[in-house]
Formats: sequence, C-alpha cells, structure tokens
Amino acid sequence: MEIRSISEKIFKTSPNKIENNQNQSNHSNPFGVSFNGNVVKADVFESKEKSNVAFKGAALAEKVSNRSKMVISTIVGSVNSMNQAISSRLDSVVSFGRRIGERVTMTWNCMNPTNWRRNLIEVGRRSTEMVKTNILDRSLKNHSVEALSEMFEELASARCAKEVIA
Amino acid sequence: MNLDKKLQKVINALGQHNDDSAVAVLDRIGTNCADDEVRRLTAKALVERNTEDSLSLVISEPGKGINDLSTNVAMSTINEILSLKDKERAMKILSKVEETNEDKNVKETARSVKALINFA
Repeated sequence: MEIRSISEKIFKTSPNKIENNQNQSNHSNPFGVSFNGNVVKADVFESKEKSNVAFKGAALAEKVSNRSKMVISTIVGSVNSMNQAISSRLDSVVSFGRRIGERVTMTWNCMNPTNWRRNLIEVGRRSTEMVKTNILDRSLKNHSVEALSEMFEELASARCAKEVIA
Repeated sequence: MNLDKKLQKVINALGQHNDDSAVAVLDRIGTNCADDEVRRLTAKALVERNTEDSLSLVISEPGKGINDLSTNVAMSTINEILSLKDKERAMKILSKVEETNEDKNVKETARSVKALINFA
C-alpha cells in the first residue's frame, strides 16, 4: 500500500483517476466530449464552479486591456496615417504654390517692365499717328487745288528753312 | 505728324486730284523747290498720276524728273517710271523726246530710260 501510494504520488496514477476525471469532466463537460480517449478538460466549457468573482474580474480586466490596446493601436495608426495624408497634401499645395510663384516671376522678368511700357507707348503713338494720317488723307482729298497749293507752299518753305538751319 | 509726312500727304493729294490745275501747282512749287526731297516727292507724284501733262514734265524738261541735277532725284523718278503698270503713255513720250527734243542730254536720258523699259 505504501509502495502503491508512493508510486501513485510519483507517477500520479490512481485507479479512480479516470472516473475522477470523468466525474470532474462530467461537471465541466456535460456532453462528455472526448478526444483520443481523453476527456476534454473543464476549461473549455464554462462551469459555475469555476466562474468565481476573481476569475471574472481578471478575465474582464484582461478583456478590457486587450480591447483598450486594440483601440489605442487603432487610434495611433489612424493618427499616423492622418498625419501622413495631411503632410502629403500640404507638401503638394506648397509645391504648387512655389511653382506658380516661380512662373509669375519668370513671366514678369521676361516681360521686363521698362521695355513693355516703352513698346506700349510706341504702339499708342503709332496708332494715333495712323488715325491722324487717315483723317488728313480723307480731308486733303476734299480740299481745293488752291488750298492744297497754299499748304504745299508753306510746308516746302518750312522744309527749306529746316535744311538751311541744319 | 511730322513735317515730312504732312508734305508727302499734300503732294500725294495734289497728284491724285481730279483737277488738272494741280499739275501746274506741282510744277510751280514742287519741281522748282531747292530741297531734293521735295523735288523727289513731286516727281514721284507726277509719274503716279500717269497723264500726258505730268509725264511730259518729268521726261522732257531739263533739270526736272529724270533730268534732275540730283542723281538721287533722277534715279528715283526712273524707278517710278519702271514701276508703272501701264507704260504705254510713258513710252510714247520717251520716243517723242528721243526724236524731237533739242537738248542732247535730255535725248540721251530718254533713250536710256526707254532701253531700260524694253529690257525690263
């Protein structure tokens, strides 16, 4: 008996072990599910005996912490992705603004304000002259020979005087 | 508008005028002017008018038109004659001057211009 008890202690075998297991598992495994001859352990199924407050609290705490970790990781991930998205959009806007600025500067430099104004003034002067010439042309055709003769004489004298001075 | 342009406009207006008395005005004031530019513009206007009176002035008169003492004025007048679309009247007058004119230089110049027209 003592040897048996020692051997039982060492090898952890007992004749009623299977029954005990079964009994235990019957409490926790009401359907008697077995796998390879071994009855499924109690921790697979819930049992009233094992759902005490401490176990519930620990499980709940674990659940909460897991979920909070998930939430936090989701938030952090989303914040990071948002940051990346915002920074990429800002970069594109900044680069676009810079390109526009460069093109405006280039256009302004090409136009060269002084030449542009000078050309505009020249164009205005020439168009005014053209208008005056057209008006003069039309009006001269309506003049009499005597009037034109007088004008011709005046202009020819003025030109001769100008040549003499020069 | 400056003086030269006004002058040009007045001379052109006289050259294109319907009244034939404009030719006399151009002759009196223009072809006798001391200024080369005025004489050049006047000769040009007379050639462009393309009438017998105006062409006779620039072809047969000594010191005027193709016979002007200024080479610039003479060459400009010859160019204008060569640019005419209808050269028939000019050719007639050139032939007449070549045959009948008393001035030798005028005859020579007319012969040269006639040859140039035939060559062109």
